Amino acid sequence: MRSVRLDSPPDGGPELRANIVQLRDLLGQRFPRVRMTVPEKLPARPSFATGLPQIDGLLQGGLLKGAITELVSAQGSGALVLRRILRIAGQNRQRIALIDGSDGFDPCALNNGLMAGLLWVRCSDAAQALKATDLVLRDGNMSLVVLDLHQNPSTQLRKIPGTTWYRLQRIIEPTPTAFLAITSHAMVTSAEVRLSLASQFTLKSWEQREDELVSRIKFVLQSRACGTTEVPEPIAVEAS
Amino acid sequence: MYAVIYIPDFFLHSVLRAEPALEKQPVVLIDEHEKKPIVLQLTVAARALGISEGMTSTQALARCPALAGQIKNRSASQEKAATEALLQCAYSFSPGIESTADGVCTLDLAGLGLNSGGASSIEPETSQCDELGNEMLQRLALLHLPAQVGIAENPWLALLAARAATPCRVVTNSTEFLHALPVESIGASFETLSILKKWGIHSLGQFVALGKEPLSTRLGPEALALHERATANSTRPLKLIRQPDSFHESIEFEHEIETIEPLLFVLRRFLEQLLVRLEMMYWVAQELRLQLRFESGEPYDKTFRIPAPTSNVETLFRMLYTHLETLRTEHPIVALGLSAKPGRAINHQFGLFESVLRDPNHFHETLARLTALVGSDRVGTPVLEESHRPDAFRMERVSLEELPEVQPENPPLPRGPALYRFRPPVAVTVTVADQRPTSLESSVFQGTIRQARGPWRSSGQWWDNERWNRDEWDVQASNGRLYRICHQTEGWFVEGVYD
Repeated sequence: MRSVRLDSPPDGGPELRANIVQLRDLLGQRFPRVRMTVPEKLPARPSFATGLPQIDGLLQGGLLKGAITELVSAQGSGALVLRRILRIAGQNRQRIALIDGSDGFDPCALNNGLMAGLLWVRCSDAAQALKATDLVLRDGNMSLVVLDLHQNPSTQLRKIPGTTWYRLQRIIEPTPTAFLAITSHAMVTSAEVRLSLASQFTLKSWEQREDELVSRIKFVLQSRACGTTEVPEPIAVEAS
Repeated sequence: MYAVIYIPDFFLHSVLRAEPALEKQPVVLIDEHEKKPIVLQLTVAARALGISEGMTSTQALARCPALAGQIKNRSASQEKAATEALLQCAYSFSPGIESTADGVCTLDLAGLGLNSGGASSIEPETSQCDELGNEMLQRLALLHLPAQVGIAENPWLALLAARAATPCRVVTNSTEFLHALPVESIGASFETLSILKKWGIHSLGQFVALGKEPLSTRLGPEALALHERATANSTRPLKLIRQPDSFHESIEFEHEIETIEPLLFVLRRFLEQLLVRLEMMYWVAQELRLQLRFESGEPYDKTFRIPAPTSNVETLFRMLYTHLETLRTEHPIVALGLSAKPGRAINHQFGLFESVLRDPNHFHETLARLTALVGSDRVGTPVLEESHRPDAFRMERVSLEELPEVQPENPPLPRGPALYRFRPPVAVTVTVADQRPTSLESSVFQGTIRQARGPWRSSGQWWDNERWNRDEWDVQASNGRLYRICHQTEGWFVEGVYD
């Protein structure tokens, strides 16, 4: 076994660089399969195109597959975005699971043809919704799983242990499923992407069609941690 | 050429198929329906302990006290299942099969391409026959049927070869083979056999040497037929049968089953056996039928339709397990049966848009688990009713088939935000001024109403007891949120929040 000197002057210099090169060579011989250099551009990750230009544009393609995306709907419009996503997915004949945390989804605004591929799980509370999500994510047959908790009371949401989200992240990682959690406040600790909605409706909103209303909603990309669990400082990027 | 599959002690092995670990232990088989049950068949280990056929169970127990739990009873259903398994295995080698006797099956090997020993030879190559015989033994071993295989030029000779095989025998020189056999193997009557013994005839070679005419003169027409057999000149047409299309395994438990573990143990073994049998016929399971009988005599019957026909043991076992996990019975189980309906495997090519499920069986199981979690009326696909009544929909099972093409949207897109419903609607106290709601008091919101749109009047089903009549309002509360409230006969309710 060759020894490598790692004690080097704090300001670096040729000796330090030589040591690093030597260490890299040694590691390369010891672990030949490990990639020792970082590629300039990481390959694009597969994503689920929602058909909403704001989301697909911000996330460069759509909701990441094998990762959790959190959509924070603090002031409303979560249900409208959800309905729009379901409508577009229905038109594209995609299979979606909707885990409804408080059984509030209104199917009457869609038609039967659009809902043919929808699995709707009507839960009574957040705890039951998380159990159902666990089962559906393990299944791996769905293109998109949506967990809607944005109207659940905060007393229920506070009882969700933080580890639950990490468990769900581990489940979804190897699957080709995208997972969207709609919440009323930022709570999904393992979310790779967090989007927040900023919009409020008035009675005049009834003068506008669904697509027009959605196009006016502001989506803010709050965080995007690539490959790490550390959440960087929020990046204020606004669509529309 | 013909092949005979012979299973020694067939009745015993039919029973031991469900418990193959007992093959090497002392086990005897009796028939409890007899007035005085005697040992009919026994394992090699039991014979080594001095037990033999014809002993009573008491005598057998006296010889071997360890036999106490190993006295098995004949089971007609298990014998039937073993016969079907044997014939299905035979059919996987040749379409011409005959069920000769219990545990004996004769196969016509004509047309199997065995006559390729050489350009000038019409005799099959011995190595090919050996290979075929060994393959039969391997497949039968998967079915827990220890067999002997004989291959010869006629059915009678093949049967003799199978009985003498250890465990596979290919007869190339019939004269040499027959002459070495004991005279008892020819199937003579007791009288003829005793005369031959008195004459000092012990082998078929000695019997044939007596000559055809002297034998018929002294012993009559029976000796003539025996001589034909002993010289391998006699042949017979096979009584061909169709392949059994039933795939069923069953057992009657000696001790009642009260917990799920022993039941699952036997069930998995049955499932493996059924799938081996199906695979031999190039089928997969399309439907499973589970039959239980309780101590009270009450039967239980459950059919499992398999969304994507498969021969995967794990998938099918999970399906059974998920169901049994939630099954509660008042009485213990005394009998179990499992049948499989054969079908063809379905293959899909996955497209860009995944309208076909990747693993329908797993999805079916997930649906069962979700149903157990939230209830059957709360999982599925919503289907809108043909009604103007608000929130009129029913839940249907999720389609496991490919999703239909969606027609382009003809109706215009809805206007306004989406409604998030409160189910059931929340009762609310509404203050009305100038026929318009001005304030709300409920668990959802308490305060004044800033703006209101309405009323939207609707009614329906006036012709029956389900009649409804309502006034709907869309209101903006002082907190800025939009609610839908409605006035019905029962009072005011908040139906949901616009979100």
